[in-house]
Amino acid sequence: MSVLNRANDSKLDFLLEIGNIGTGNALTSLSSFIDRKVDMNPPQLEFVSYDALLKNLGGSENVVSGFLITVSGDIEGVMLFLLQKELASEVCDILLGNSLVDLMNLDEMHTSLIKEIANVMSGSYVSALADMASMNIQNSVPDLCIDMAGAILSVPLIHFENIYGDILLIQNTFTIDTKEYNSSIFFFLKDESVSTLMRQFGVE
Amino acid sequence: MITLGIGEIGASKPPEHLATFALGSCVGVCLYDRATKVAGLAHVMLPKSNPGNLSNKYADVAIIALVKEMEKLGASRLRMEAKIAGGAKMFESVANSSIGNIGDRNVEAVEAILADLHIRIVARDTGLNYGRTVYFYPQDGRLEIKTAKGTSCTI
Repeated sequence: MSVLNRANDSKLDFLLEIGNIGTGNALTSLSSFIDRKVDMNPPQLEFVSYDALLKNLGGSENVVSGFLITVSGDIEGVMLFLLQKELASEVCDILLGNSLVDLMNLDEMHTSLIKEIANVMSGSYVSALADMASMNIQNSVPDLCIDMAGAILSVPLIHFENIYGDILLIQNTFTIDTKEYNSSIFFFLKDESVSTLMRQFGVE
Repeated sequence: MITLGIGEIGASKPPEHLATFALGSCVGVCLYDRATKVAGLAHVMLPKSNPGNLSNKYADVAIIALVKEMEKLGASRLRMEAKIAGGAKMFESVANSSIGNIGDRNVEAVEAILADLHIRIVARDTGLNYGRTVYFYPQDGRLEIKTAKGTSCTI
């Protein structure tokens, strides 16, 4: 069982704050990447079951683009970053002048662009956390997989053998110009790493 | 149709078929007794159980439990044959991490357990790097596999 399942209020607040700062930085870098104004609404922190999570993602067979980032150094974990098709499409439209039509049949240009978006956003998420904690935290280059939501989401779950526990989901809605988008960032941290972070920040 | 979630098992007789969605590195283990038309499906997530955790998400626990479920419906283990699907490598970097290639390890574990039980694998669609949804029909033991690209095959 993960420490997240047993989280008390101060742990919840702490994790929400981590997610908030990380995501805020990720969206700031997205904003400068596409040179558009990006506004973030306050993040929603939820503990959800695996089934509820899949429903949230449009069902287990819904096609999404997922990026897996391995986090190592003073803390260890994996980050799963789900990029909604509409957002990927919007960014391609802004930068390449043509939106992508079919996630399953991306050309090289679109693929490398959305990989770069994930790279920029996950990099700023992790470095914000590392700076704030004064810790040594590295993130791997994002590994892209475009497939059924269920098949992608099972990977980090297996990593932590945590299928029956609840998952910490930090869901953000934000707007680019006037359109609203969702992003989902799942940060799966090892139990020891959550404790390490909390000690580092003086939260007990 | 009986839909099985991750780490679940189920058995059925015609006309009720079995399905499980979006197998990534998980393996769908389909067992069939042609004489009684009893079918069973397990959505296996990990290779081997720990002593303290005997859940159907582990291949060793799930397959033995599935055989028992099917025997309750009149099937005989001696007549069972297997078809397996899944065990993909969804992300390249995970395959190189400490847990190794979980898809391959799941497939190897399933093969070993089926061999122990003297259940022959008659067809398979495993490995590679994409998710699979499977439908298993007790009428004739056919296994239909669909992917996110919209392709499908029957084994």
